[in-house]
Amino acid sequence: MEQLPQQLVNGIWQGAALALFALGFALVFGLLDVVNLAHGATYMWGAFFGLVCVTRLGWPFWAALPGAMVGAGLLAVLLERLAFKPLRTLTTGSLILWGGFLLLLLGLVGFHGGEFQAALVGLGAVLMLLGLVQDYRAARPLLQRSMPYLAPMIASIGASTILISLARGQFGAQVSRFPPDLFPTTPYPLGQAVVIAPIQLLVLAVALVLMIGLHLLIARTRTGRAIRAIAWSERTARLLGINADLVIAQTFFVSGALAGAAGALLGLAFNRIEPTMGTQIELAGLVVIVVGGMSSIGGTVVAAFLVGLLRVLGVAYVDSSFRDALVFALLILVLLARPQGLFGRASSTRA
Amino acid sequence: MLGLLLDHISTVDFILLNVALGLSIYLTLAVGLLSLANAGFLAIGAYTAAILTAQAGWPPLAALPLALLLGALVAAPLGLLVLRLQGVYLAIATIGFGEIVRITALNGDKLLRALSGDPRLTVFHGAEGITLPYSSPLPVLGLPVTTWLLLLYALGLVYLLATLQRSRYGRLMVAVRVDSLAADTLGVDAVRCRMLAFVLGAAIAAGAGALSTPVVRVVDPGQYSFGRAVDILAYAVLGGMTTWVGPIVGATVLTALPEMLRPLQEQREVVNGLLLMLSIIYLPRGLADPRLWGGWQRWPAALRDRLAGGTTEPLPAPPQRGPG
Repeated sequence: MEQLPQQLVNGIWQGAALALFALGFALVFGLLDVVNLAHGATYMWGAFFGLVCVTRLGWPFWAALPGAMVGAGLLAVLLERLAFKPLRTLTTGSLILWGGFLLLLLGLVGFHGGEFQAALVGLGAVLMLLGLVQDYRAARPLLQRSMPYLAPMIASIGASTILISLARGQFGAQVSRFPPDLFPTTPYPLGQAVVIAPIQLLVLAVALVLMIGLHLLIARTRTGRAIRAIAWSERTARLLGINADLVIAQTFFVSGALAGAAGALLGLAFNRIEPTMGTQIELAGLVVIVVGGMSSIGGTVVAAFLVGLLRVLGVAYVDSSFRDALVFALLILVLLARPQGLFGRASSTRA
Repeated sequence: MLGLLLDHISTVDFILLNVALGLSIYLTLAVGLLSLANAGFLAIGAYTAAILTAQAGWPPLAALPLALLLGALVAAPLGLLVLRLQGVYLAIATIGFGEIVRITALNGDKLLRALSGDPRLTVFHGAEGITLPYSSPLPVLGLPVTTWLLLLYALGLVYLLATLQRSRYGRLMVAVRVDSLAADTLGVDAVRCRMLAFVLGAAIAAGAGALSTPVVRVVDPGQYSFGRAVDILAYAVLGGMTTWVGPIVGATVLTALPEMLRPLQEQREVVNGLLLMLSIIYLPRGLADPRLWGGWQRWPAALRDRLAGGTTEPLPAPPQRGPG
């Protein structure tokens, strides 16, 4: 029992990182009713963006973290335009975007080195940019449709496969690591036999700052109000003159940036970055948003701390190998007892 | 032709296996349920067969009925619990079930040792998995017997599903998928219909698992992760979810394509992801959409009509009905 305080500390900082990840999930689900299963891949790319900033560009970590957030945020926006928007409205611009994307992939995957590859990648990127602009400007879409809930989820599964595969091609399947002297490792004592490492403190601090920032964004700003309006009814929001496409892109940027922050921070905390690192946290994140009520922000944060603690305490007191089984048992119990989540109210506090 | 088949016999085996799995998830999709539990049932079948054949010395075929039964027995109580859930919630709950099965297989020995009190009891072999003794399968009529078994299983499923699709139950399933509420008010027992599809799908997946053991040779928990469940879903989505032809086309394309794309090495998965995205965005009814192919089939007839100056026999007139 004497290790309980230490376990609580571990549970809290891991729960904070999990909350960052799951908030992105909840934000997108609240806005579009879409489970974005590429969120784990965005998280993984965020970690790699951070790694590239540190190892190849030589940035210090305080600059690499925002770098990872911006990179992952832009990736999430691109993903929205490629995978989710064409399911709602198909425009000429999105066709151009897809053409550019196919060229880019052909360049990245099909050829090894040489000017031809560079030309294909460059041409693909330019076409994608053109397509994005044209897609945004489009006044009259080619096709407008309502998709079953299954479609965006499957599109995001495809996107996730592509992103993981590309990461494997760029960085290899092995574990990549930050340089060991990047961050001090001497732990601070918090009390008798309770310590917290500087990086764990950083994770906790950054997560709390970002959570408060997100709360202020949703509750106090014009964008936040627009997000809530679209979550309530996209059609009504459009009729009231809200630029829904822009707001959806902004939300995806925030969601991706949160995932990127979680990826870079946890990548550094465990010093383990690999292409498949998103899968486990994605499953944990799914549990968190279900327990937290799918789209309520407060519920998501509380549920993330709950799941984080459960995982850590499961390792300490039951058995390390059963910690995820415990988490999923919690999931099924919650789904059966309260399908709207422990903290959810039927469609009242959304986004 | 036969030589080509024999050179790629393991690919053929995997195509047949994946066809069976695609058909198993098609059954639940056909009643409008998104269940991702099939990888879990696959694991249940595979572990049952592996334990019985490698450790208890049963003949491989004898394990099949037991695996089918066990799949159905696990699915029935699970279905009672989770089929009340809708849409995304059901998907997430079944993902949870799959993970619990995988974790149980990974740590089954610890559990058994704690329960039986024998610290050396080893049944599941943890992450290494159960390795089946290698024996080259008997050739029957030029093909290995394992391939014949898989082929018979897949053909049996196709027969079952094609019959089902045209039967009363098939029409009930369509009604439940398209509008569950309306079906309910018309006296269709939607709950029973869903339950039947779920249990049957689970038994099919478990049976496929039992037949897969001689092909995969090593049964380890890593094969039955969330990724496998997603792969199985991809077969049905790519091919199309409205007829049983869909999962067959989807499984064949998605299994054969990576083999053909070997030069791309690690990045060939990109093509699978791309196909999935393209098909859901631009062909939401799948590759085997009857409307897509119906148009092409009518081309020769239309051409012939044009060439013959429209003198071909007219279609028989539909039976007379009142206005409406």
